[in-house]
Amino acid sequence: MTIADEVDFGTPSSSSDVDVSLTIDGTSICVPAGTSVMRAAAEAGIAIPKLCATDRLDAFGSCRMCVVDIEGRKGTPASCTTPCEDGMVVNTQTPHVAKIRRGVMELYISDHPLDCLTCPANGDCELQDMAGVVGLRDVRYGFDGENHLDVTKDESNPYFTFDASKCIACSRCVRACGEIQGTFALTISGRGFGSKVSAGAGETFLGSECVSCGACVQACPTSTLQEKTVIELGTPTRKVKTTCAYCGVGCSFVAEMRGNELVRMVPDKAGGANAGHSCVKGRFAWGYASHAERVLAPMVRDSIAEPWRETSWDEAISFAATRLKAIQDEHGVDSIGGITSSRCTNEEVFVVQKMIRAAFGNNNVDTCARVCHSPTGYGLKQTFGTSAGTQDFASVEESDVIVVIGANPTDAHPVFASRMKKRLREGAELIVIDPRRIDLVQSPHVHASHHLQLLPGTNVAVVNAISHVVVTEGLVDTEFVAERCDPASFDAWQAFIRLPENSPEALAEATGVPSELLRTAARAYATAPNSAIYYGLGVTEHSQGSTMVMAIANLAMATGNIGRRGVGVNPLRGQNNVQGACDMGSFPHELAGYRHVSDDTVRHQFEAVWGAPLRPEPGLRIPNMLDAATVGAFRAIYIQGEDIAQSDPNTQHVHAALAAMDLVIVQDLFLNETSKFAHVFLPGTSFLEKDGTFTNAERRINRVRPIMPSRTGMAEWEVTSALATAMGYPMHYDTASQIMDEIAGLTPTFAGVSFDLLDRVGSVQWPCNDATPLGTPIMHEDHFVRGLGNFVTTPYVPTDERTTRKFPLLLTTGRILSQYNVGAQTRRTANVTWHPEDILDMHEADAELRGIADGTWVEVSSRAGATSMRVRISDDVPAGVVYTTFHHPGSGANVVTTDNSDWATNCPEYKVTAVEVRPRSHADVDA
Amino acid sequence: MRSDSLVKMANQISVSVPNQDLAVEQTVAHLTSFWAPAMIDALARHHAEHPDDVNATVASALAELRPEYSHG
Repeated sequence: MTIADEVDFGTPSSSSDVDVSLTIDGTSICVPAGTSVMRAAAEAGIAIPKLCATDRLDAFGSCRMCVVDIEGRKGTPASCTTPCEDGMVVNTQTPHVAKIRRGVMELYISDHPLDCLTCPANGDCELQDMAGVVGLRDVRYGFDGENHLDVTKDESNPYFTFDASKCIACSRCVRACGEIQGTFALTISGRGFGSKVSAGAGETFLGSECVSCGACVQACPTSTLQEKTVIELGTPTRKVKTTCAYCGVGCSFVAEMRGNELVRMVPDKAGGANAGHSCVKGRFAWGYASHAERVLAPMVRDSIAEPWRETSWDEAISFAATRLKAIQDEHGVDSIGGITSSRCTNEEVFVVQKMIRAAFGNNNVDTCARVCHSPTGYGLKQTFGTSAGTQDFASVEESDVIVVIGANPTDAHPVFASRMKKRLREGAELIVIDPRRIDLVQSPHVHASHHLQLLPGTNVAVVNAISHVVVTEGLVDTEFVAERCDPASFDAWQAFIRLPENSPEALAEATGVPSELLRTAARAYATAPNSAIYYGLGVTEHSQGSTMVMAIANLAMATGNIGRRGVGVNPLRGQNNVQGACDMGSFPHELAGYRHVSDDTVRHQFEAVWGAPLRPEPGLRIPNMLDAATVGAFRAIYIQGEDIAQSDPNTQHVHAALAAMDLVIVQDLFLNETSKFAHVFLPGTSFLEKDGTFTNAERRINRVRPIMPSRTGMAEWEVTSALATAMGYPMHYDTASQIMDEIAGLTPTFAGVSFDLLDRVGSVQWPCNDATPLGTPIMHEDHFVRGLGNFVTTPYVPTDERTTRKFPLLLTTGRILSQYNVGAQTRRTANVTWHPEDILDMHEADAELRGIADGTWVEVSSRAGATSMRVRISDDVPAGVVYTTFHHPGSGANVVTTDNSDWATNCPEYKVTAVEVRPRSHADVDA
Repeated sequence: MRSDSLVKMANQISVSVPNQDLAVEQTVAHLTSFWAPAMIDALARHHAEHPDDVNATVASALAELRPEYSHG
């Protein structure tokens, strides 16, 4: 498959600094050494026929279509595997090579269906194109010989088919699975004429280890691997570049359309975050946007006991505004607030927090980052001076040691994981710090040299111990520390970290990590030329989440692993726009750009532009709002695109708080668990209808372009503006780009950002301003944002959540590849094929002790509550630890999570819950 | 505001601020920077009625933040 106007140069580019000069078809060409003849020709506008070659994959040299004549050389070498040399004279079009190509094509077509007019790839088939290019007019061998035309089609995968009768055995799919995705699920089995593409050991695609990333489908030059949507709908007729709305990788896609109907999503080769790759969610799981359960009209009701009543936008806005004002009149200006969503665009988020601060008149605004990466914001600001990851994703290609802490990239950030795995296959060393044996620990051609399988809740102890080794074994980068860091803070930290209580030996019993293993890992990290740390919610969602982020920052600074490519501290953000939602001023204590509301100069700037007085003190965070609601002090909430009744911890408490409120306004795509407590439902727009920007985990601001009109008739920012106006604060924008202009005017790190710039250059990473007009891929290169890096002492304080005789196991939670957060989107796609329910992973020893067999229904209980799910016996978790996902409301994993939280930010401690697991009787299950 | 939550959060902050030699000052700074004033008010009121619920660091911080509620 190709995108119509996308040039495929046939082989990857060379990064050599040395140039070579040659002549191709009489044209003098200069290219970097290592460039293939095929690519050099393509760069000069000379297209050499090809089938097995594509610039996304290493040269393979199997199809023989790209043969050329090179003066002074015997035979006809393949141009894809022949590197350019100085003085080389190449002829790509001679009667001899033309005859060879035509002959090769005859062989291909002798075993290929002649059904082009009814083939779904008609017009989008490289075999068809090349047959034309080489001038195929007949097939001397006929079509009655031995062939593969009757091979059964594999339709097991919900999103694509595998029709081996159309396969030309070019291996592009196999190579894409290995080189790009890194899964190695495909192979060529058999030999000679019997060669065929095989998923796993002769399994179906669905039954194999295929992760449905679609790289094979994209690589296929024929219709052998074909999207079912293309088979069903036909060839796309127009395309729009946009950005995925799933995880924080922020993949760029070309949405290929027929009218307003989406036919397929093709990852954009020019995408800064994904470089042409995707995962099963981004490429295939977009059907929720047109799911029958989408709510497209506003709805209201006076009480949650009543059924919903569909109404007009005007009435819904008036209904909401009237009640919000009445509640404030009766209970005070601080009795209402709202939550912004990391799933929405920067522009949509910005106007919601503006509405709350300017129209509601308080700072009771928070965002769903509260429950994921708020400790990143706190920790990195304290140490580096700003709340952001330090690198771009491509930086990992220059790492020598990669440390993954509390993250599972192959499931939660799969496209970045593929990039990371490629570097690991090239020889980088991997250290995994995680209670679970995540896939990266041992997967095809990837092996963690060190897996520090710590007990949940002991992160800070482990990183302190690593730093202890660095300091006591003389591994500190003294030059970096002296030049770049605050000396007093370093001295204090060094004195603290040297204490015997921080040694690996002293902490081994608490952490469960053998001291010698930890020491060798510490030495590997500290002594490699470039060491990088990537972390996820396994770092932040703890009672010491913020402390852990600072401990990581300390370690990176002490070893000089900040400020250049290949190093850094990199939070892997959960949702598509977590970074952006935080940037946009969604926290109750900060205005856009992470500036405290008490800063008079900054606040007056906003007041001047917004024409409204702003409060100088922090407002309530989400847990504070919920707590206040249960005692009647907080009465109304506006919830943008979040399902807090499912996603937030201690479900019973969240439900009680929502039920206690006089008014709950939900803006979302679907009725969800939270909307059961709502009085106003404002239908939202899917990412396919949005116009704006998302900011990914590498601070990359990507354009989100509408590929179809809003199905609700309103953009979400228009709805918010209408509500603010109805509240008595006039707010009006004509376009989303006007909102970005306002953001840029008020936020120094966004000062240079505009839709025009993004449309011209594709994307930029903030800071983007006069000093860095095209953005900043690597932060803190010359100095930290705060000036000198600040070391913070990080004493390990064990969590209050401890195992007891009543609750002897520790539950930790996470995501799976095919599903996304509370599943509102992915549960409404064929992704349920892979994960129809949440499952509890349990070690065999714990299961045996309790008489639990694989597949048994169990009750999982904690001091907060109890839920039921089935068990999978697994040695991915150690004895004493159980694990589940939280994608399905039926199991409701957060029924058992507690209200413990990070000391600095109130980020919930999802990753540590003491539980007991008991088998359920058949009667319980049936009930 | 739920007093039990406020007490738990404040005690947790006081033992978690990085420099325990400056725990009172850092607790004051943290509450000022991140807590809504109503939360500090509610905690101070609770402390006036239940002086044993918060630890000494929090008590000292509240004396500084809300002297009108402090004992003696």
